[in-house]
Amino acid sequence: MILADFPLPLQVYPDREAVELPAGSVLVHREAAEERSRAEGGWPPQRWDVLPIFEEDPHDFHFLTEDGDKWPLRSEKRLTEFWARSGEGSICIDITGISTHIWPILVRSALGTGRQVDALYIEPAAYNFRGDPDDWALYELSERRIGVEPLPGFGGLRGVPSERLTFVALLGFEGARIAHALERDEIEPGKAISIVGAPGFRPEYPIHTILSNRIVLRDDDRWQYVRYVRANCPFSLFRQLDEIALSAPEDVLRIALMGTRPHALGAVLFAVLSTGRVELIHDYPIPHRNRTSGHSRALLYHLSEFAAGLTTGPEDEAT
Amino acid sequence: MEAVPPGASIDPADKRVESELLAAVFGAYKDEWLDKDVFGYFEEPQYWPDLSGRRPCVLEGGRGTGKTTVLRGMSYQGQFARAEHNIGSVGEWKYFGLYHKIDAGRVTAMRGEELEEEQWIRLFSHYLNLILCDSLCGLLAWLEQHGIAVDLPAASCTAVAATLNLEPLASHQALAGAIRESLDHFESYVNNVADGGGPRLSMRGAPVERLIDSLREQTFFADRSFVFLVDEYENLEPYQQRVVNTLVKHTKPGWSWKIGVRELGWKDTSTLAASEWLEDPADYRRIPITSRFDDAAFRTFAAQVCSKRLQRLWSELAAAGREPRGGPDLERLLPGLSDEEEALALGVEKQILEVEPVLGRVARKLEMEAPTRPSPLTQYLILHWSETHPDEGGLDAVVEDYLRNPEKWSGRQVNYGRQALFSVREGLSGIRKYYAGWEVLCRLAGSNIRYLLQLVEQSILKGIVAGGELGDPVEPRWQTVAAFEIAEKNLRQLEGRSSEGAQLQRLALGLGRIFGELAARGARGAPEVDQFELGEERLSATEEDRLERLLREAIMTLALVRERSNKSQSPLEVKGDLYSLHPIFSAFFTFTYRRKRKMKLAPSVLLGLIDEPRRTLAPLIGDDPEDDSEHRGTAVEIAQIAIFEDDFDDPR
Repeated sequence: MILADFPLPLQVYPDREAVELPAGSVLVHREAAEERSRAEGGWPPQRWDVLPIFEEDPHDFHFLTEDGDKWPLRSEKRLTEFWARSGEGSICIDITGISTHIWPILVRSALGTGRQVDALYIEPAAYNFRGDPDDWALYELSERRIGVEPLPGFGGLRGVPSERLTFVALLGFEGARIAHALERDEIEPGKAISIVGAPGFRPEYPIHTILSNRIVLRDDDRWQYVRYVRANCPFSLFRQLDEIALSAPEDVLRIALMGTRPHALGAVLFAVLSTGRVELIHDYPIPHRNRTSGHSRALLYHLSEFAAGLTTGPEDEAT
Repeated sequence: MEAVPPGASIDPADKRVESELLAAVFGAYKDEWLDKDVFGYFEEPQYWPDLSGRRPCVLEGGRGTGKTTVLRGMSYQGQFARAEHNIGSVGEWKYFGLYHKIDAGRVTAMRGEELEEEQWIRLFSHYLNLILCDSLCGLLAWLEQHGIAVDLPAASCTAVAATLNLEPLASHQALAGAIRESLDHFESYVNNVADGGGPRLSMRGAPVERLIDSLREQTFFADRSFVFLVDEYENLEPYQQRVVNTLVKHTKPGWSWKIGVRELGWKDTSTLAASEWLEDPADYRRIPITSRFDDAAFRTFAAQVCSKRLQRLWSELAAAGREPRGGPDLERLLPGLSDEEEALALGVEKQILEVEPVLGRVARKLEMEAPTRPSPLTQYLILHWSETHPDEGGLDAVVEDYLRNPEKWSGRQVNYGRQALFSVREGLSGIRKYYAGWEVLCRLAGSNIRYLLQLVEQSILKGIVAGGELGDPVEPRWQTVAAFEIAEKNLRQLEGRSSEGAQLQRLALGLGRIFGELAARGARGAPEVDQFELGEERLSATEEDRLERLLREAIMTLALVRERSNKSQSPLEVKGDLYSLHPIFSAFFTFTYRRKRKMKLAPSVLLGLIDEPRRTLAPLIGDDPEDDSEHRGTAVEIAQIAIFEDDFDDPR
């Protein structure tokens, strides 16, 4: 695969109020407990339709719309219908408040419509530190985790032996999450590549990420296999994943979405657009109500534009 | 592993060669990582004979107890490697083991609200057929690669294909390709399962049986059997376990099952038939690894495992012209300390200076012959007893009691001698208790071979880094430092071992503080308390469920080990059992690694250690509680009951 060079198709706004979407767009949005996911004053320009979605149990395989309709995640047909109902304009998926087991399948199905597809992400002003200084963890952003499972619609069931797995850990501020995924899969250190978001949303965040994951990184010298990718850039992550995939062309890439949402978006794009075998896993965290405070920059990622810019290289043609 | 070239010029002071080789030989302690080397280090455990034969077996043990090594050792690849890659040995094999690790990242995709469980059962049964047939085809391909061609007639391939609802196929290679294609379609289907449609499903076990029958019709496989080696069974959903259980219950001639599962990981022992369970020994043989290993048996097995690695290390170094001094003898390399030696190492001599003059003076007062000088540890116990029992009248009175009642003090030494060691350096920095010696390291490992490999590697490494030579006995202090660091590492890693990991870590930290505090009290409390059972207390249904879930997770992740107190209850019930922190943690918190005495802990205290560790711990470990009188009273009472109700003079 050949990746388009810079400029990457993204726009950065100082805050949510400054975001501009094409007229006639539909913005799929979920209001969660975090302040950054709430648009209390409405969306200023209001030149687009906001399509709110709702979630019930954190482990459900569906989401709901205002009319009470239930939309299964593992149904290409129903998701096609979902988008058909939203008109013909461009699609923007606000990945800030929608749970990570839901928005990836929306991204995949939206890209299948042939319409312009963007994703919106609002950075928080800050992640909140853990209260108890005696604890070993810096942050506790989730109350608990349900368990590591394939992301709905992105599971792999082919008979690939475990030694042909390359594990990509998208690191966040809760080291236990990735540690659990690595422990469960018992991945050999050299086959587990960790991604740190650097530069981060804030200058200090990369070191917080390293500190939060120090146990995993120190064990078995995993620190030797760390790569750094801008925390808010899915396209840079896509590029990095492409490099990793090329270095192990026979392997299945199992990517653990436990870092930043823009990184998770990059992994989803890679799973959708690459020709290799990719599995996405997630641990269904129940977020703390006060995990973040405030809101900061807004980033608009032009996904369909990025997809259109990919071309098939000679290696792919040969295969 | 890359050997150092013979005759290479190496600075004798440079220990990197030794360190790197040590890490290479011991460091890759997870069977999954050793790759080809896994078979080079293979040792048959004591229970190996129980695994042979046609009877299905369930190998049960925590992480690191060697299940994977054993199962992979039984696989055809393992058999071949253990036969030193002699393809001629294949002709003598009685069975072909087919290893399959259950990948939770995959099988958990087959659950969800879109289908009823009955439908998931049919889907999973079909998936299992595909996977098992694929592994049988993999065996044929492997044999072919090694020059043994077993051709399956087209009619047989077509018959198998028919059971999988595939088109007629002319060869096993074509069958393998069609199965892989079916798996691809199956994956796409599950990822859009709500859309309906779906593949035509096969009957549970039918394609596997047909394929095995066809293979056994071939001369090469006649009178030989196939064994499915299913590892990490705990990763299957309960309904998926029922599907496999059903196949195990109705095992057909020519094939069998050996299953590896974590303790408590076998969530459902029933089959798909109503009121039908897998029963031991009627249907299978259960092999609980930990209880099969008493201390001596584990030491023997562990010595075989470690010696093989040490011999490899010694020969690599010899090839590099750096042969270590002495042989790779574990007891010599890892010497321990007797209680008396440890007392001296901890510095009791400085503390007991006043005891001997008092002994002489009191003996003269009693007109007794001057006693033989008691050992330093005994003198320390006398002193410590007088300090911890002020109501007994001070040092002179305690010495008098010692001289008048030698039998009583003989028993006291048995009960409290080792306990007193924990208090020698109370409140001081540095080593407060030694954890050293091959036997002690084996006890710390708690029948866990992975922990033991870590302890041995790090002890030897610490010895080298401290300036010793590889092959020299490792000083007890470096073994102790290694044990402390391994304990800390595993404690920190607890957080990642489960989705409840953070809670388990807090539980372990809290319990460790309690047991450490009880140990440091020395003769003020019960000797060597390191187990607990749950006290009677009414909890809400939600709290009961949570406690049960946490205990199960704690056992599965080796935060806790349990001792069944009621053998008649189901192996899946946990709440009536006796628990202790895994002995690997004892060096970090400084408490005993020997399972000796128990205390009672109220369930609410256990949950309090997780939810409000400071408040819960303060009254239990003697800190000044800030405020919380109600809770404090309960906890203190429980701690006191626990300490004073036990029969101290009847060590189990």
